[in-house]
Amino acid sequence: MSVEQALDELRSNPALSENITHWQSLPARKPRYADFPESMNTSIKELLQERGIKQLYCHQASAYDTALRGEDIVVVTPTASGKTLCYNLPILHSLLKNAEARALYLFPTKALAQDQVAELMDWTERLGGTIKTFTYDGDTPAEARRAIRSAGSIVVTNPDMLHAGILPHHTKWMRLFENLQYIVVDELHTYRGVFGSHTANVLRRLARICRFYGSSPQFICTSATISNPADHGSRLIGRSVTVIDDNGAPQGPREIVFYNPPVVNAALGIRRSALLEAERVAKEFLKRSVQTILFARSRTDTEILVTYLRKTFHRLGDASEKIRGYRGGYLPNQRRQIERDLRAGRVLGVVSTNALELGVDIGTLEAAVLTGYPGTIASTWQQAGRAGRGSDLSAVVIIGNSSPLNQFVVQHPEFVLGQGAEMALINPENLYILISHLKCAVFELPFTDDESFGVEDVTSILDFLVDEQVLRRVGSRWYWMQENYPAVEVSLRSASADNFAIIDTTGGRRQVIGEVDRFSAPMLIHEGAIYIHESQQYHIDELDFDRQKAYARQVSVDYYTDANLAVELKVLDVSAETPLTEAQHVWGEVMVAAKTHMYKKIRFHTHENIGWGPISLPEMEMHTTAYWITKADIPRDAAERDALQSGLMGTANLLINTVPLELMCSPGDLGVVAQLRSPFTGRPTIYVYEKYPGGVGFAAQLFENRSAVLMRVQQLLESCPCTDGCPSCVGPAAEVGANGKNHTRRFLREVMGDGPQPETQGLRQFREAD
Amino acid sequence: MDLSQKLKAFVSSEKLTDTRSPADTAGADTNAWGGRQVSNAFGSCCLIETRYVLPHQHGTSQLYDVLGCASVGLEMLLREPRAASLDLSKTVFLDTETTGLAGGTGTYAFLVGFGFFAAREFVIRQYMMRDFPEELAMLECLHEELATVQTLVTFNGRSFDWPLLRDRFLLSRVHPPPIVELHLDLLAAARRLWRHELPSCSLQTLEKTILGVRREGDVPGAEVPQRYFAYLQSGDSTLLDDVLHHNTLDILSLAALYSALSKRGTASPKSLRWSSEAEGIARLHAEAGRHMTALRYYDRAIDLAADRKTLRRLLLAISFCYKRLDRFDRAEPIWHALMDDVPVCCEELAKYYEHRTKDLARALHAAEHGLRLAERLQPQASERFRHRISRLKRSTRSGAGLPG
Repeated sequence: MSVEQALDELRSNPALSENITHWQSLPARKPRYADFPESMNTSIKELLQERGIKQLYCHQASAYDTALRGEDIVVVTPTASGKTLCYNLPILHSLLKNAEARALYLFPTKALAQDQVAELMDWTERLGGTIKTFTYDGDTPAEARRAIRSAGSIVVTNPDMLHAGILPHHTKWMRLFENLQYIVVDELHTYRGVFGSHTANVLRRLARICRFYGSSPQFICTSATISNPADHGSRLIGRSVTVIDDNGAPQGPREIVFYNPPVVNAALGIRRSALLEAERVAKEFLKRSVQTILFARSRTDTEILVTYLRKTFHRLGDASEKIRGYRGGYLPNQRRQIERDLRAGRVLGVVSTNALELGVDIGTLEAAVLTGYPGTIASTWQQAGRAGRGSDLSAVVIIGNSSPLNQFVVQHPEFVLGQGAEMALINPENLYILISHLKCAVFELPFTDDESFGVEDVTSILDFLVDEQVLRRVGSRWYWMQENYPAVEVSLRSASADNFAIIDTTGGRRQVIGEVDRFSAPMLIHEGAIYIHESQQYHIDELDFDRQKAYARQVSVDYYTDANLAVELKVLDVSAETPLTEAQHVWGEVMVAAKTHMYKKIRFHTHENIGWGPISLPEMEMHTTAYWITKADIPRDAAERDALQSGLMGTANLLINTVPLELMCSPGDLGVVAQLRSPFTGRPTIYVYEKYPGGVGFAAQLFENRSAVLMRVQQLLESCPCTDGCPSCVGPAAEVGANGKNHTRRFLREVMGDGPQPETQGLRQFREAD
Repeated sequence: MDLSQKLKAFVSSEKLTDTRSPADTAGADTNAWGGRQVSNAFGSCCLIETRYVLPHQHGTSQLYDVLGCASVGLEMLLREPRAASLDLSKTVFLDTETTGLAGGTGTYAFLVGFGFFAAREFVIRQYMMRDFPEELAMLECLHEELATVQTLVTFNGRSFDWPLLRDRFLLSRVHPPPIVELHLDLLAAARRLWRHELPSCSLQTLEKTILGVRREGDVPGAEVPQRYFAYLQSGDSTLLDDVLHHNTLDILSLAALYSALSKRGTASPKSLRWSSEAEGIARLHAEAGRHMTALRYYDRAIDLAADRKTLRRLLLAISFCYKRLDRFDRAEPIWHALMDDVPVCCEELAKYYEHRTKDLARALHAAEHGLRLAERLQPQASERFRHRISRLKRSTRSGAGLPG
């Protein structure tokens, strides 16, 4: 009932309701059932009945049937639809039938794996205890590992551990690999971008090892809604898959509210901060004891929100411990504690980054507040799915921030409500990634020239590694010829294996409080930065870049810091291009040099700039792929040049916010640079580049879909209610100058041309190569 | 830009200056090493055999001594009863040279050497793969050689050489890994005797300090993998001369160490020259429940002990022997002497007063003293003292056990 009261308040309090741009009531959905499959093991049937399950949802039954027919499957259903049964039923059935058979479960994170194993163990115990389930991850004690290797019927792990801990030692896992019948890949949609491209290669290695031991396991994957599950699944596991997406699970009624923070300065088009509005909205739920999850867009935002809400709660006379933060960078024990407290109801409100988007079990929450559009439709539904398990009413509030993308979404709710989710993209052929895993593969087993590795011919890469004295070729075989262990040098999650540790030195102690990856370090933990952890502020006193350590001290200040990133760019190679007419579109390879020069101090609440400081850290260089638009010529006239500059900036701002909509990626995966006279083209150019070495396919995809993307940019520009341009579309006037909207409109018209796009040179090769 | 250009431009490490194409080592000159080529169904590899006529001198000892030494000494030092009935004619001393120390299936044992006693000789056989494809033939030879072996003697072989060889056999998919009845890893015994005395228990350190072996012109173990890779790249077989020599020395030292350890294991307390040796042997006796014998060796260790830290450790160990023998009259003075340095002595005293002499006041005093000490030296033990103190206080109040 309290959910309804909070919603009533949103509806009836004018200070809140005037900001609501759309209110959508989603009706409850009835379940659709199927009988237990006849062939299914009787003790499993009995166990299901014991737990009050009399029938299966139709998608569970069809997953069982399809899996037992021997097909590789991807089950695509929303959060809380009982997807674990989709793999547990056929697998438990098969393992009961054949005691020697083995299964390998892969979860994207350790937390998810631990969660699933607890449930699975409960099942197997009740099934007589013949099926042994073990988690194998970095936390597994050394004594337990031997038993797991030989006796584990079901081994639950994550791709990182498979990559660095299991495959390089496959002889110790002989029993598993000889008898491997099933591989489960849970949360398939999370394996996209860099992580997905790496994982696809880890699975290629796994397939080689299975062939060596004479097994050919079958895949069962589950995924949240994406638009290309069949394609994505088959790219990832390297085989064609059968998609099961006929969801039979019920859903309680849901109220989805789109909320746009009020304009505070109409002339400059500045809106109130989404963080402040999120606090206002969340308060309505929390003070009625509605268990609520808030999603923030960044680690910093998470901590700011926790700080705000704790203060509010304190004023309301309630314990501020009822509000907790949850994000990457917290230590595992701390995270487990928060998860338990959420399930037990000891924590009322949790503020999280997308870390809680996945299936970590935190029990039933009643409301979700999304601070900012999560970047993709799929993520939006995942985050919204955190509220409303069971058949009770639940509420989801999506609060737009001032970015163009967010403004578009809150003003066009049909964009989220009316269409399917995005595609998940991976590029297992990324040269850097492919080479890393070929090295690991040769380490695991010598490579022969009749083998393939996803791509048909890898002999030229292997021979290159021979030149590099990493491998040795003898006849038709390549052997590993180094002392080291290649897997430790390859991290599946980021561009570099090495993280920076943040050490709290307050009062003479030395305690590690968190970690930051190498590329984020110059932005987040430069000297003078305010790093926030568990809503405690830390001042970074010293960053020891070589030793990868930052020394921090607890402080209490009224500002946070924001670092500026300067990027330079050099074109190395053109992969495909359109003919140069009035404009030209290109896809190719570039070298990006990024350097942080300074940071700003920004006051809480008012968000005013109250000072700055220099940053002197080494430049980060990266070879990657990019898409760029070049305009034919630079006007002579100075005023015209300024107008063009303004149009370039405006388009760049719009692009960086639009592209994530079209390609399922986060804005952080891409960078944009606009240059009036690019050193490479000698012409006005906008580059959109991938922030991962070698790229994972976004630039190529962007080049191919450029018409759709540029049309979306136009739509975004025209749908903004401002007249001359504002921070929500082309960017602040201080950056793009006056009349930025008009200049951008003109630039777009010129580079898009009218009529059909000319045939692309080079694209054909690209398709063939693909 | 095509693939190979891309590879060169973006991925290539610029460190390389040597662009010669790798050598073909298949026909590497086996004679250069004084060996011969052996062939079987899986191809061929190289065998180098060296014979040492007994009593061959190695360092300060003679290999001949191995034949005469009593294996009961080792049985005790390794706590391995089966060592007592060991048959030296079916025993090999084994050591491998590998392409790395990291482990995992990409680490190869390119040279496997082992020594054994035959008639009046000590024979060392070294099997070498002259290139990767020769591994199968090498493993086939080892399979045959090791089939009749009962006992394997290694140095750190339990965690390194043997599991690595096992992995190589598993990967070959031809023969299952060889099974030996008994594997004696001398590292464990060496640690027991010399851990407190020497900076490390590596074979090199033991050679210098215990075996009197001086290595000259030896290749350091850490450089061995690079030597092998350099040989593969260049085809220059002389690069491996030092590696073969290194492996030979390791095996000879292994045999010498075997005899040195056996002698220590049966030595009388008087004949021992180092405190740590006497202590190591004493501890083994104590662990086996032979407290009287242990005390004799501990006494010898005390005679030879040089520093306060060692003395304190020995006295504590002695006090526990006395405790096990129910000789509290001997244990109590030691605990008293150490009660300002070692929290556990306070704990023992407190137990002794509480349960044996039923003197709760003194027990409480010892426990409180122990708590102060523990808080400073050993915080994790504080909790135990607090428990004991509160229990003692309760008993004191209730008057139970108070004398008169």
